[in-house]
Amino acid sequence: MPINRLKILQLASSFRGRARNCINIARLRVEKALQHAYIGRKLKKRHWRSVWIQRINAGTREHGVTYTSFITGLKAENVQLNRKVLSELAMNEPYSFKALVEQVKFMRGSSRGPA
Amino acid sequence: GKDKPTYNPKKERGDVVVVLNAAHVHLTHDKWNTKLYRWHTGYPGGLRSRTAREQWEADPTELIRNAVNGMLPKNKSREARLEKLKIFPESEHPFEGFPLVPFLPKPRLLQDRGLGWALPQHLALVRWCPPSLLLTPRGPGLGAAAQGFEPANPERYRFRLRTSPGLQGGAGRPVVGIEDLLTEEERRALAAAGQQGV
Repeated sequence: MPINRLKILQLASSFRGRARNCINIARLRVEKALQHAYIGRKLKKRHWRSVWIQRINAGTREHGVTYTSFITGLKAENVQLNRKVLSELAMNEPYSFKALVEQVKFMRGSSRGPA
Repeated sequence: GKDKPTYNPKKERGDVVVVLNAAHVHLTHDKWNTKLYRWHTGYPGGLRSRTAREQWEADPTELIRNAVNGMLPKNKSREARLEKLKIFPESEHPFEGFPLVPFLPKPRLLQDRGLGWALPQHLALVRWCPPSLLLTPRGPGLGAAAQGFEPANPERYRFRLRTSPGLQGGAGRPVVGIEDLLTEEERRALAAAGQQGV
């Protein structure tokens, strides 16, 4: 079999129906699948950032701070941890995360001043 | 599961919600007789329906379950989320040993639209209320304490109290139409209050 046809049918090996065996149909479905993969690689980055943010929000609200206050506080202190790491801390290192939240509360509280 | 840092959009790891006393649910207006629960059996001409009363007699928890099901987003998680809702008709539930936290909704201002259902009996005044009591401007103290809420539109609310028959303890006729029955001093009080712009 010519090599391009072989490659396409290998890519289409898990497809449904004739798309896994018949080259003309497989070629169409594989093209579409590659397009979806291209778009998906860009969407994946957005999706995960959104999930990290939701996890950080949940973690900070357990300590009485909202996500926005937390992030502005971190920026003010030049803490350059990214959201991926922060969400991992929130899930797996609760005491370290709590230390970060307390630091933010302390810095924001003192800069705002009493009342 | 969005209140937990281990949130995963694909899994439903949220808390379980236990609803008690579902058999004591209250429907407004005539919904017990007019609200229909419909389903289709899949066969031609198979649209079946039941009124809310019949549904309650068959399964009282279905009223709440159906309502919540309609409010959930219609996606793949809907079924899993609905399974997290445990509804019990009376106060008995098998989750005695679990750390259940009672859910207190935020207090909301409700406007009494004066339609259909009447106020509880202990708030309804005597059959015919002297105008001196009806026409005193209802300050926040009296109104809120008597009804348990602040009317969002006090002028409109007072107008409705005066004119709608259901809210006057069964008088059945509006106050505005009984001038001939008033005594002289009550007529004077009515005129005075009318000039105040009640």
